[in-house]
Amino acid sequence: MSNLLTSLISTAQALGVFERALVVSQNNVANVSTPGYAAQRMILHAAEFDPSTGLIGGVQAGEIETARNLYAEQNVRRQRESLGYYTELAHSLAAVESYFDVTGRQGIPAALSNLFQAFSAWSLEPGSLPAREQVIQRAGELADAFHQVAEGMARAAADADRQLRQTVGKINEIGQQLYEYNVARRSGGMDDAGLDTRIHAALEELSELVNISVLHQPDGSVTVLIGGQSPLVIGASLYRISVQFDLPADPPPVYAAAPAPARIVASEGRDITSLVTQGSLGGLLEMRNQVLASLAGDAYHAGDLNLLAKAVADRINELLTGGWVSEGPPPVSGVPLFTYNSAGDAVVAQTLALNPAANAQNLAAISPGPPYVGNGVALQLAELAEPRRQQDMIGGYSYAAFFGRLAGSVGSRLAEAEANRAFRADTTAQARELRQQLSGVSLDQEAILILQFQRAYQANAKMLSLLGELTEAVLGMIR
Amino acid sequence: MLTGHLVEALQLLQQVQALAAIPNPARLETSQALLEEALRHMQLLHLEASKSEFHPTPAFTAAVRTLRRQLQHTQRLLEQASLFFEGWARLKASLTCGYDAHGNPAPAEEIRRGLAEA
Repeated sequence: MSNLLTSLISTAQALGVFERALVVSQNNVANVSTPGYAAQRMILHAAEFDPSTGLIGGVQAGEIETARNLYAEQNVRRQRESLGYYTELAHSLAAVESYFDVTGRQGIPAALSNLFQAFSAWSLEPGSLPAREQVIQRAGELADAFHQVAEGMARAAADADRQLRQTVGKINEIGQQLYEYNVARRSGGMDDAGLDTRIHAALEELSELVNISVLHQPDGSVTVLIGGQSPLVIGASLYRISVQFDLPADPPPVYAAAPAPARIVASEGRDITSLVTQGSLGGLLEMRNQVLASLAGDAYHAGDLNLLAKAVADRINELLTGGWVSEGPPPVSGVPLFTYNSAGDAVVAQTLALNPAANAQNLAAISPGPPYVGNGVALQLAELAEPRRQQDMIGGYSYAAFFGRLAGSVGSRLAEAEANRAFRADTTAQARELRQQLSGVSLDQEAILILQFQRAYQANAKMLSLLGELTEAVLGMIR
Repeated sequence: MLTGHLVEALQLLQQVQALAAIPNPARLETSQALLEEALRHMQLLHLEASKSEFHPTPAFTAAVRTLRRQLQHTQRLLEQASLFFEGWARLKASLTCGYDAHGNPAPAEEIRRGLAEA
């Protein structure tokens, strides 16, 4: 009778264990389309069986095992970090590119060309009032063209600042979620598949915003470090980051009138900007502190646009003030054509203006020499279009060519960012597929998969290399 | 004829790219056959282009440049997948077998076994 009872108990226990295993499987089926869900499996242990000592055997429920592969998860996050960076950079550069026309038909290059043509027409008729008025008008248009681009850069910087604040807010928001998940994990949610899914979904979302390192702790919580160093979440502690636009004391600013670069600051006040290299935040910082600063200037960079505006204004002013309006006696010197804020080189483009004192009557066309040339200054000004002297150039380039290089660099950076964005979109999709492939595969299957893949890859790589050589050979014939 | 070979090669390469998006041994074997076919078209194209009467149009030149870009994209895509598997193998080896005399992850036993079986 006791043996029958023992068998019944053993069977009932086994049914209970299988029921739990079935619940785990049902949960897997129910979540088959849930993004970021990793299948779970209950490990079954054989119970000790020894009838002589009353051990009735049967089956016992063990721990729940996840099919999640953390290496594959990390790979997805790495790709998303890069995707976030290039997506942001491409988006921001596209907004700026329209101000840098490479065709020369509008904007600064067109205004420069028109002014040089006006100088040329004036040099042919130095006493002509309409020719002089044309010079004044074209000079005003050039100043306006510089303003438009400088304002465009200022708008792009303001957009970047707004997005930096939003992105930092979003990072802190996800950090808060992860902190709450950690608390839930520590309060007995170790085997909660839903919680696990939410944690990994949050980590993946965070990785598109900023480059992170994730450490999985034995208590089930996650430690998230920005740039592998600065903590965002450690267990049940959240360390919020912030963005600041104030000028740091060290290093001291070179151009105090220009805007300060954006800085990412950790909760304890440490500047962690250099740690942020990927994700949308990395892309925004690159745009704000590198691209825009190199174009329009900031507290530490004069900016190429300001460099050009200053060089053009200074050279034209120098030639005009060195010339005579009339030979007198006494001779009357010319007045400068342009003015700008002399507070700093980083604000020249936005403050460049037509000198209110300049008019058609006081433009100096005469070069006193020796030799005296009646239209000498006007001729020298006309030669700025195709300069031969170093003082009429910037680093060996004419003003138009210098702007062309600037526009070209913006265009090529945009093209590069677009190409990288497209590539990272593909590698992100690929990383998700690879994660899926490795999920739940046994170690032996994995080892074989890796070997087979590497062999097939090598064969493909060889073919691609041969194709590349042939393509280059065909291109060589075309050139 | 020249353009035909180029169009064929480009189309085959697009198929290879789609296969590389989900990289596994079976799909790579399929892509290898496609690449062989693309290579054949490029060899014929090269042969035709070597002839003295060959005068490329701007459209043809642009198409060859597109082919080069697509090739580079496919190469990088496959490299990414290869790096992933390589990294995973190294990580597993370092976890299971420690390091060899040079400080590199020692080959894992299961990899050796897999090698014998494959």
